[in-house]
Amino acid sequence: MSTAATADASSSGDTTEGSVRLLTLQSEDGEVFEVKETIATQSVTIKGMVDDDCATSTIPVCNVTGRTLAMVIEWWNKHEIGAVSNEKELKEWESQFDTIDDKSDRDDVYDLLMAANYLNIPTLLDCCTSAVAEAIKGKSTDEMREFFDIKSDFDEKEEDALRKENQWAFEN
Amino acid sequence: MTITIKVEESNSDRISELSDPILHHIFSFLPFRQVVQTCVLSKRWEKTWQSSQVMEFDRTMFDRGSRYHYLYVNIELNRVLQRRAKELFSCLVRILQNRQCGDMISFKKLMIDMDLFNDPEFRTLLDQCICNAIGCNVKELKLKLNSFSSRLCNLPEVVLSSKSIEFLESKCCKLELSKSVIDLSSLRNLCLNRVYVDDHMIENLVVGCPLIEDLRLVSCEGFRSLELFGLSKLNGIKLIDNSDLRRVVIKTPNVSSLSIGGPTRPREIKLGFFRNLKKLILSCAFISDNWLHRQISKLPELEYLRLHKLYGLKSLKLSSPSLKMLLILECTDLVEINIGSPNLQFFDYQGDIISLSLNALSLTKINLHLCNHILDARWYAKYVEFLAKFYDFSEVLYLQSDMVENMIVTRELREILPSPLSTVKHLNLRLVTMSIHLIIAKLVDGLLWIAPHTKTVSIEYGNLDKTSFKFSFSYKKQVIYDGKTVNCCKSFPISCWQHCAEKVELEINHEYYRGGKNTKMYILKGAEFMEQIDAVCSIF
Repeated sequence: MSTAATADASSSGDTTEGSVRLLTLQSEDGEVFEVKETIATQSVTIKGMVDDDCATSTIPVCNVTGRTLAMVIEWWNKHEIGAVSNEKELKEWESQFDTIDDKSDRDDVYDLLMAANYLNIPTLLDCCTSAVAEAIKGKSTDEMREFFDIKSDFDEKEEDALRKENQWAFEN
Repeated sequence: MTITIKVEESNSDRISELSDPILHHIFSFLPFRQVVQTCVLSKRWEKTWQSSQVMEFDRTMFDRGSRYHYLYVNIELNRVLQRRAKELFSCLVRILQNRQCGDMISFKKLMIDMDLFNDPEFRTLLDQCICNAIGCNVKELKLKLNSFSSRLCNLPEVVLSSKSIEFLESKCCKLELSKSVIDLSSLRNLCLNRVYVDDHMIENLVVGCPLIEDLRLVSCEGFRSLELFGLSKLNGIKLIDNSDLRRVVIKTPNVSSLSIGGPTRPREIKLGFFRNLKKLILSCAFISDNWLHRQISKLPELEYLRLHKLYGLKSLKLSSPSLKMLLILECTDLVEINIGSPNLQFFDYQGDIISLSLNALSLTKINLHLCNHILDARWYAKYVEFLAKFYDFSEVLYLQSDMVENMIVTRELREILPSPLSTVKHLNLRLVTMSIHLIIAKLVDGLLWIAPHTKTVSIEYGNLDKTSFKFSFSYKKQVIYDGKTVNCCKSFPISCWQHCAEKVELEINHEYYRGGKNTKMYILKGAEFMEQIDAVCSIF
């Protein structure tokens, strides 16, 4: 998926490549990735670990699958300073994440969102939350329930009362 | 937030499993109206909406699409808006009340930007809403209330004793104190616009905000004197158009940005020694040369100085080594400027042609807007002489002009005077006049005389709909024309552009106020490109 991420399970721990330190990340389903420290510290969580000298052995990334973690690493690679020459190119690349066309896209965005939240990656979190917002925009509540599989636990009376209370928001 | 099983295309409701902070983050990208709609999705969503950390709304959300101005004539519509606003506020009052009873006492921001309906019930709801927000420990409170009657409404007193507020902005209201004392111990940012505050109140306010970092008083009334002492955190001060203010004393040690201006301005300004002041803006005031020079000498770190419509200022001498940006705009009494600031990068001047002595080797950008009333040979000669002052400095020059004619130096003068700015690489002109289609070639010709061998010339005009012409020139190296050096190139150290321009790229841009853009590119070649310019520009 990306050049810096290799699914090589044999090496782990504190490795150095030239003067750049490599960190080992392990996904929830056991996939191992080696990532340059300078790139992985885009995650505030990992940065905290590095600063506290807690990043010497394999870092478990709970709740994030190998497939998602590979996407996250690709995101880091693109957002490394100097990786992409111009802002426009980066925006174009990012645009693959910022629209949700169907339910499988939707699930990918959820996975990334959870990963971005857990690893605390502000740029990715912004991108994913705004993608979900874009998918919500303009949808009626019924359309939203359909698209996001939200089941109402209100009875009819309760919902009617809520709609009446907030009538202004439902009027044209 | 515990998801362990990944199902390929799930039909499970994963969005509702996202944590509140993430859902609130998603809300921040949505129109407020739609955020409110989500409350009927399920109990989970109702709770998420009720615990919103940010509530921002303005009147546009009550009337989709209709334009602002005609609402006042449409009584029926106004009544609908008023009902909707009241619905929302009663809802908010209840939600915020419940939050105080529960454990959700944290609230980041409440912003209300709307007209004050002349309805006591609405005002009561508004007050209750503000009080409940304070009860929820709101950190940021912005109340931009447009009132069209001269009767301003009072800001609930409880606001002024809130220990949680860090940012308070208020527009169109009255601050009055009956018994409670001002205690805004967390306040860092205070912005009052069209607010009535009397002298007693302003004194209390200054004392009640010990941690204030940014203070803005704009178009306020009631107080005649403002004294700021101590306040070691105070960093930015802006005092603009406070109609009753007569006397300002500022002796706070750490201010880095200070702006004082009119139209109505204080008569007495006393400033202390600001060792950290980087930005100073003075506008619409009557000041003397001595006063200004004395003040500036007390500002060792000054980087940005903007003098706008200062009367009484005749001669300006600046040698401050820290100064990077200098803007002198419409100071009509000014007759002489002497600048010796070695680190000055940007110089902006608007006014008559006056005596200028410039020694600022770091200048990279110059903006000139020269005003003139009579266009005669003397003016043009002075104009050329003035421009020539910038010969050694900037490669980028911005000119602004009210009239096209200013830019076209007469033929007779061109023959006697050398081009003033042969070092300029980028010349940009902004015109205030409208249609110039027919004389665009003449204008380019005039600009190329001012700055021969410039790489680009851009001409822009229009206020709402904007049109710009951008020319990029490539030149031949040699000045030999038809086998011999032509006459026009012999007399000056710099060869005449007309005989060495090789290729001209022209980009014409129309940008429309209501959105939309239209760009066309042309490539013009050969010595006759001037005629081609007119042909292209007139069909556009």
